[in-house]
Formats: sequence, structure tokens, C-alpha cells
Amino acid sequence: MDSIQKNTPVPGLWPVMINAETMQSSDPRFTVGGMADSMYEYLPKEHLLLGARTDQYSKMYASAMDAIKDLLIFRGMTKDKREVFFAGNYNSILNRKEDVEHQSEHLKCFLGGTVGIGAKVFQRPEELRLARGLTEGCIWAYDSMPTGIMPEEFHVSACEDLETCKWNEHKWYQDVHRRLSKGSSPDNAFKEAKDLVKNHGLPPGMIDIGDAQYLLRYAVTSGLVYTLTFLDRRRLSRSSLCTG
Amino acid sequence: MLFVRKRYILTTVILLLVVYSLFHGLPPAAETPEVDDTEFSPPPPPEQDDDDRIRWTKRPEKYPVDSYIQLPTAAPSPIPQIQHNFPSESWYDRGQRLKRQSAVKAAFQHAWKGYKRHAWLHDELSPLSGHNRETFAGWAATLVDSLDTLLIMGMTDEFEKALAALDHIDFTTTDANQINVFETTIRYLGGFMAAHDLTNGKYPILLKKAVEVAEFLYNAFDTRNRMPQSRWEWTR
Repeated sequence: MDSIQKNTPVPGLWPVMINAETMQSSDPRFTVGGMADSMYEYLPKEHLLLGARTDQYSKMYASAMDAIKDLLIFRGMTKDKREVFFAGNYNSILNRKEDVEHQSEHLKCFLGGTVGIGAKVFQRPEELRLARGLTEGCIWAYDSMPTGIMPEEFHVSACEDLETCKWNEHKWYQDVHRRLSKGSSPDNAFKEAKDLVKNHGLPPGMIDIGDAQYLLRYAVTSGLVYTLTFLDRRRLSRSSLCTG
Repeated sequence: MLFVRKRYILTTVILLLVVYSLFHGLPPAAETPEVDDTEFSPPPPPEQDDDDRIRWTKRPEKYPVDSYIQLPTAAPSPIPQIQHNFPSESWYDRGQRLKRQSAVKAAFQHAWKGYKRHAWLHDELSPLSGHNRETFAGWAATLVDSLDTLLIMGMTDEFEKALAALDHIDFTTTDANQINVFETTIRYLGGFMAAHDLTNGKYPILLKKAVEVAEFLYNAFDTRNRMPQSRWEWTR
């Protein structure tokens, strides 16, 4: 995996499917979610298991993080202006670099923990903020749902940039419409968006819930537990998930 | 006159509230003993029927490893501290934490009871129907996977009951055509290793079973570049 990491269509990231015999791939999908998550999660862990006596995992981690930060990370637009980050998905055939898919899923909730461990172990303190924001993203998703449990898979309204993000209800409706509309006249777009929100049960900020199931995933627990080792819980949002 | 009475009422109410919140915040008392469910004990496993089962046997590898990458032998390098420097836990926080911990343990005990009653030595319990299913080659996945949880929660009696059942698991055969190498590694090998680690090697059967799984699984790595097959047809 090390040998191919820098030669993929997105150097630093591995495509979802690789032929294990030839180490070739024609898969255009890049994600840190399902079918890829553990690869990234274990980079800092393997480093630790080997007593920090190799460079290999630190280099692979650095490569991966550069690509993740550069391409996949975006900020979600929330009503309470929480700083929430997500890692989206990228398709090297369908997407331009600016068009990362603003998707998230339960399985990605490990990432805040991993980025935090990596920030400490590899001495990259500037990434602690990202780590916290990623975990906050999952907490927000849990808090947003009427059951208090986040959906398996969903899409979010993204902010223009990572630094500032004011809640813009109009933008949220626009994003919902773009994502879910079956085509309607521009005059009706606003009304249609409101109906879509109502019919799909979309909490503010979410523009689509692709899979509302809860599959007994433990990813959020793992992300939270790790985050709570390097972060005092009072620095995380109050939530029935962890701090309430 | 009215003024004096009001003051007594207010003081009384405040005192009551203070006393109530003090008692409410107290850490839980020593745990109430587990409901005695010895009237229920898991049924003995069905008699092993040895005829006509295909069994895995060790055979020479097609692509044996000719050299291993050396693991680092030197002492670990200093690793920067990951843990935040936490303030010591307050009496109130401790109470909250223990209360929550009890709730988690109770949830597990409930689930474990269901597994024992309806799915003992099977892979999984189907909680809605009360039946069981073999989703991971039928080697009692839930039992093996839960060994470390039983230990962490201090349920040593249950742990030892589970250990006693391990000898009935036969890792040389399965009804499944395909082995999911990933799931088998994390649940079975991982389960035995975690329990072995947590008990500091006190129970030799854990290592024995771990080796049995590992020997079986190792064949999935017998490929040209030693990358394992993910869905392994073990009978071929």
C-alpha cells in the first residue's frame, strides 16, 4: 500500500477497490468512510505498535492527511454556528477538485479520534482543531435527529470556507432543492424545498438523508473515546452523547 | 407575622431542596447482586457428528514466505503524550460516571442473558424472533467476541462459564463455503487474543484456541504477494 500511495489519481489517498494481486486499480472512488476507513485509522496505531521505531507510518500518515485536508475536508453549515467539519467523498472521474461530495456517514466518525491521535503522536498540533471539529460533526449529527441518533448516511449543506460560517437558511433550501428536486419551475423552488425538508424530515443543515438506519455502529463511540483522551470534555459541545 | 411565616417556609423549602440534591447526587451504593439465573444454564452443545465433514488439514504452502521484514528490536522511541492532563475527578462527577457505568453494564447483562438463553454457541442472536443464526462460520462468534467484555465488566463467573464451552468449538471445519477473512480475524482471533492479554495468560485455552484459528486462517494468506484473499473458499 505504501508503494502505491503517491501514484493514485489522488496522491495520498487510496481508491476503494484495489486488485490485491497486481496492486492496480481503476476505481475512481476516494473516501475515508466505509471500505476505506480502517486503512487510515491504523496508520498512527501501527506506528505506536511498532514502538515509534519506524518512519514508514509517519510518512504515510502525512501523505494521507495532506490529501484529506486539501481535498476532502469541508465545514458544515449549522444553525448554532458550531464549528463542525466533515470529510467528503471524491470521484476522480465525475468530480472536479472543487466538487467534493458533501456527504458523511457513521463510519467516518472514527476520523476525529484518529486525527487527534495523529496530531499528538506525530507532533502536528495545528490539526487538533480539525480533530475536534470532526468529532463535533458527528455529535451535531446525533443531536440533530429527533431520536438523538445520527443517520447512517447523509449529505450536508457546506460552508463557503472553513473559517467563518453564518447560518443561511436560503442557502440550505437551495442546497436541498439542488440535491432532491425532481425538477420544478424556479418560482416554485422555494416552496418545493420546504416541502422536501418536511417530507424527508431534514434537520437544519442536512440536505439529504440517504440511509436513516442505525446499524449498531460503534464508530462514533470510538471517535469520541479517543477524542476525550486528548481533549477535556468541556471543550466539546454539551450533548446527551457524551457530556450532558 | 406574615413576614416571619414566609421566612420559615422559604428556609424549609431551600433546606429540603439541598438535602434532596445531595442524596440524589450520591454515588450508587454497592451493586445489588445479579439476579440469580443459575436455574438457567446453557444447554450442552449437540453431539458432534464426525462423519462426512470436510476438515481442514495443514498442508505445504504454495507460496511460502522466504524472508520476513524484521520488526524493530530496539526499545520504543519516546512517544509524545497523547492524554490531556485531566484535573482529578470531583465527587459529583465520580457519582455520575458510576451511575452511567452501571447502566452500561446492565445493558450488557441483558444482552448476554438473551444470547445464553437463545443462541448459546451460535454466532448471533436474532433478538426479534428469539432464534439464532450463523453469520460468521458458526464458531460462536458472539461468545468469543464477548470474552474481553465479560472480563472488563468484572463478570468472572460468566467468563469462566464461557471458557468451559470453548472446547466445543471446532476450528477445523465449518458449514460455510466461504470464510470472511477480515471478520474471522477481528472477531475470533481478536477475541481470543484480547481475553488472553487481559488475563495475562492465566487461561491456556485462550492461546490454544487463538492458535487454532490462526493456523486455519493463515492459509488465506498463501498467495503470490501474501495479501490475503478476502472471501476465502477454504475447501478448494
